[in-house]
Amino acid sequence: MSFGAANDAPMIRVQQVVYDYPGHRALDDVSFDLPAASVTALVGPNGAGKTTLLRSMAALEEPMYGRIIMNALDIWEHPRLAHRFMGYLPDHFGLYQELSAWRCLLYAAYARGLDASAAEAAAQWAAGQVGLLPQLETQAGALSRGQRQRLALAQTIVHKPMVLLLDEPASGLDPEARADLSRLMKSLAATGMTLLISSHILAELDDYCTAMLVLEKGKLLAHRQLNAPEARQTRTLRLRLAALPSNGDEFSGWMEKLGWRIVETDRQAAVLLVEGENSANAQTRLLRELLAASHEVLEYAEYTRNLQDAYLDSLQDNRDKNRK
Amino acid sequence: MNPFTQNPEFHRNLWLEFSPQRLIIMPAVILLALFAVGTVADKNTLDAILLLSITGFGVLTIIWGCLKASNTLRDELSDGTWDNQRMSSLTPWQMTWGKLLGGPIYAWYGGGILLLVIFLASGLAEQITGSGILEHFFAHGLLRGMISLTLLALLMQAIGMMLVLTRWQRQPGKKPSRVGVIGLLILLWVLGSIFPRLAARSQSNGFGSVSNITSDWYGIRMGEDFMLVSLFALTAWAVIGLWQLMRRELQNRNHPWWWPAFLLFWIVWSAGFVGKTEVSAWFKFFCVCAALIWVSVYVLIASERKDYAFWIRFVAAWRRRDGVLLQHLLPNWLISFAMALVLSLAALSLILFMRGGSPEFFSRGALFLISLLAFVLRDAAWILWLNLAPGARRADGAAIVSLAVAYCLLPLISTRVFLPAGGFLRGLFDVSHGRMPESEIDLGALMAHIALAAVTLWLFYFRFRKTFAGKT
Repeated sequence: MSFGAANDAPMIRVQQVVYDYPGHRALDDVSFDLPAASVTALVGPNGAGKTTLLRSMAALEEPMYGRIIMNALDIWEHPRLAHRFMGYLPDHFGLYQELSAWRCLLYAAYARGLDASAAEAAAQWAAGQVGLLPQLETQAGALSRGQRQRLALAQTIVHKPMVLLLDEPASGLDPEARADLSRLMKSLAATGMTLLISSHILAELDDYCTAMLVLEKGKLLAHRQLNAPEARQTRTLRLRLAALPSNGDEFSGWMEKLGWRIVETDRQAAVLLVEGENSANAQTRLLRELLAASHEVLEYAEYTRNLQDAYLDSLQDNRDKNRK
Repeated sequence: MNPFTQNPEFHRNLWLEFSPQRLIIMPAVILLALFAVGTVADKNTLDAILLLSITGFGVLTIIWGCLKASNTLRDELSDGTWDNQRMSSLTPWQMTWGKLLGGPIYAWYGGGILLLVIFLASGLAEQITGSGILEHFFAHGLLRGMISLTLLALLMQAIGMMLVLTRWQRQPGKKPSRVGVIGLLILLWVLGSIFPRLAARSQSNGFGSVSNITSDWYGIRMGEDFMLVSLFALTAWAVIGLWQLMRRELQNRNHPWWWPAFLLFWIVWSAGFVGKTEVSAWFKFFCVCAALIWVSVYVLIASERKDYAFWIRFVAAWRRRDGVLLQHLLPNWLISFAMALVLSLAALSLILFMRGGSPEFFSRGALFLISLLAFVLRDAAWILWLNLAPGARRADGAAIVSLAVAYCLLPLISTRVFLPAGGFLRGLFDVSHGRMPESEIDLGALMAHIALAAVTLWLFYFRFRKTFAGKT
């Protein structure tokens, strides 16, 4: 059987997925598309249905209704086939404690159907990706929490899946291990894998996520693209002045003539958020004009709304909508 | 050929189970035990060694092997490695034999050594009495005995793993307990009563005494080979059952044919012991078959998934007319129920059209069958009704308690307190004790059985409709 997404087709298509537990709907008519080579953050409060969604997408828990298409294949029509090109790292992953890291990886490679010559190379590659080459002879049970996490991830990617689903991969990791994980995510994304990562720690997803799915109470609240800074149309700057001009309207009009709009003002702190053209030239020109007009500028920096802000915005938008 | 690519699961178990130390420890302990027995036994040293070897095989391979086999699955489920296994490229058959033979491989290592000891000690005993080892091997059923022990161990290990998987599939996410293994040991005791002379040997002829086992099967006198073939068939069915459960776990769509095929085998095998060819015997035959399958309905309905999540998938598949998924989801208790119904109807037809036996026997038999049908319907509907309750968590426990009250406490109280009406009340639960309705009052009880079955069926239907009506 052949499969493979057409160039313009999304790598992952989730259509009207419903998943019920007794007395509780965990996923309620969830639909979205994810393009190939995208890195998407799956965020939401506890009990939002993130794990159920990931397990349904990993063809481990069959939804009651709906379809999940991956790489042009209905994964619930052909779950075994779908497993060949996907990897899934559960929140509570397990390892064979008594086996060495090398044997764990070798077993994972063989169990994924790789032949003898490919399996060793794949195990080496996966260990290298997660930076575990020095620990290959160590028993899995003797590895640190971060190393165990990396070993589990290496097992998950040993067959070089096209789609990688990760459930809270950073939970329990120390800051250094999180930074390593962040680097690993970037390098995997660079190889063209499509990643969907569920996490509570949004700050670390900021670096490499291209989109965000927000789930709450089993419903998809938002699917936002998180453009890279260079792809944005506008730029927001944060200014702190020694004192705000007494004539606010006049100052506002002056700023607009320069191409910048005041979007937020904190009078007490004398802080302004201004939005304008996304270019370095426009930014330096504004600073020159401010200084030339004798405004005492104490702080002048680009302001970015991070994933956390976008997530909270989504929740707020939804609550406002419900109130109306 | 690389054994790893043949079955990585089996190979992983070899890695886990065998280390140079463990390879040495097992034969060393066995040799020490044999030596100790040899020094303790006054005379008949070979007998003592044989007895120890057979007992040791039972303990190592059958009991410990069964625990090891079931633990190999329990550990995967509780340690969180099962998801990876389910997403692997291993086929259900590779996974089945990789775990079945791989999990208890160390127990088999010890068992293999003990089988060798049995073989050598038996031969040695025979040599002392004058005949060659191979002659003894075939003449006295040593080979048969060794095969029987091996099959029995495999059977127990396969059933142990089936219990774990069944429990897991019934309540996914809940770590299976070892309660099932206790049940399995009880089964071992039952099997021990079927094959009593395989369990222990007290004579100096090794397995020679096994050759005395005979039985009447469909009126034919069967020898010990029949028992061996039966054991082989049961083991094969257990492995098939495990394979089917593994297929389900590994997301393969199952066909519903294996279960009725097993039931057919089971009833044909069991009913063979009823014997004779008179009409009443045929009637008995159908009754025994139906009763056996009715029992399987109870066992299966308790062990299979029947909660809200199961039914909503079933209903969704039904509404989509998804035949493949419906076949996959079709519960075995429903298949058993349908088969038992057909067999009961066959038995009733015999009553109607082949009036060869005594009228009283047949009328009582008909009452018995109809009562049994109403009985099972009522209990099944009751269990399903409880399982569909909103937020039901311990529905099966509630079912067991309520049925125990209905079968044990109510009849007892009714006969003691409400006599003579108690007789009628007792009749409502009489079939559970295997009695046939005997008097006019039992006709009333029969009507009550039917009424109760209708009420519980209606209750279940009402809750089912309420739960699933309009669900999209």
